[in-house]
Amino acid sequence: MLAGLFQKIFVAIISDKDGYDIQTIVVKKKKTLHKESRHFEGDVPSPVMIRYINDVIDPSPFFYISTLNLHANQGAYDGCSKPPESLQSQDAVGIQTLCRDEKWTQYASQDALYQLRSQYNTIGLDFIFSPFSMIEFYFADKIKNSFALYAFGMPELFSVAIFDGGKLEYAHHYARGSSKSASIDEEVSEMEFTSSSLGHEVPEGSILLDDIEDLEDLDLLDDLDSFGDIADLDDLDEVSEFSEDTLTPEEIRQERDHNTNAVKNEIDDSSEEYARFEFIQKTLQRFYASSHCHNRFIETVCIADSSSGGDELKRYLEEELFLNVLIRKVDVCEGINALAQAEVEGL
Amino acid sequence: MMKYSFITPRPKRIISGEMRLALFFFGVNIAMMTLAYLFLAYKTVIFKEKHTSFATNMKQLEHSIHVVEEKTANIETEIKKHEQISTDNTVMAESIRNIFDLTPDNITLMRAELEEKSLILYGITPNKDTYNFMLEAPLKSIFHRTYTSFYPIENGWYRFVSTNYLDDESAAEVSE
Repeated sequence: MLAGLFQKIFVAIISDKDGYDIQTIVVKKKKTLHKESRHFEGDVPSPVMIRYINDVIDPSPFFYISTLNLHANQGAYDGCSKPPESLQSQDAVGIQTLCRDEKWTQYASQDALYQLRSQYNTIGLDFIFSPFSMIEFYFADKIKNSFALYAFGMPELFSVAIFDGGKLEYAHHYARGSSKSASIDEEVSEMEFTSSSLGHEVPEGSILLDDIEDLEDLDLLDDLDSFGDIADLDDLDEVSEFSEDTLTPEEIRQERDHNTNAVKNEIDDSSEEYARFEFIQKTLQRFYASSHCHNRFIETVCIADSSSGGDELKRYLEEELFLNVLIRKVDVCEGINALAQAEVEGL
Repeated sequence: MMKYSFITPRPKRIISGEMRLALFFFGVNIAMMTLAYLFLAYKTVIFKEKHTSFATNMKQLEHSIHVVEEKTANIETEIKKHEQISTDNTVMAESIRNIFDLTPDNITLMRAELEEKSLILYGITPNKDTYNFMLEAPLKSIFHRTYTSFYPIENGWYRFVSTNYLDDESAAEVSE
């Protein structure tokens, strides 16, 4: 009851390779009184940053410090049942789950959450959010109604989820190049929802050209020897792609793979946008290869992007993967504070 | 249960630890002051009751003193009356004794009326000269005014009535 008399101070902290972005919002009775953003450099919270946060939260006892879990070991899966054994066994400490609307579950490594708390132990944390909560927040108007791929991109991470009418079909979290919470090697999260990886879906005897990256890989071409007899070429008549005028899903996928190779030549491999393009492409490949696909095709991609670019990525996705692309420029700190406010209102 | 966050927020206390400590001591002080106030209020009530009781007692005592003073005044008056009466009696006895001492042997007093400012003597004298020289002279030295009447009797003597008066000043002196 007395809490209504006090201001509520929400502090969002995001760490990136340059330092820490902090946004402070002072709210009283759902009215924003003050908003301030600051950037602090350093790999760990500096005394100046800690002093700044302590000064910011000093006026009110009702302050909430929030951050985003950037760690690789996190994800989401359909339903609110217990996490699969395969997920739990991959983390020594275990995982923590959070059921959303009795429909789908976010999970995060207990160890990652502990690391985050340790990282901010001098100031303390009140909320740790998942990137999938950010996706849900930024695309709340679309997730419940449409079938699309939704992504949340930051310099440190790229999270992808496929929702169909509010039902989570597929989710994957890519942690990249983080200097603090995830190693560079953890490019792809090991704890993923998908039931099979891209490598496993390749039919026996097939060759993916993507896999041929150096001369040693040319050994794969030895498989061509399986065409021992020219008569085997008669089997080609039985291949459906030649027997029908319309493109099959496999044809579309292969065409997209082919186009991807073309994109690779156009985009600088080191760029952020190419990495995102590749993540989306991999996600689509994995989804189409999984048992959850049911011959559905994703036509729309919605990306919540915190960086300033995105135009080239949109063009590549539209031109090479034939996707309808919606990119929303977002302020991650503002989104975190909005989630924190929603949490506080629900307390 | 959290909707979006993996962790629950830390409990928010409106009052910080230092403030709680300060408020604790402040509360103890207030409690002590309240207890002291209640104690003093209780004592004040008791004091007022005693004061009222003492005032009532004092009024009663004042009334008693007044009664005693009245009684004392009455007693003093009575004492004065008694003394006056005693003095008067003494004076009268002395006067009577003086009268008898003044009276010569050959004059017989038959009756004496002694008043405060007057003396009336009734008696028999062998002759007027005896009375005039032996009794009237001392009487005149005492009283301011002396009147004597003689009545002859059968044996040649005289019956006399001597009326003597004292004026006011002399009467006061005599009474003293």
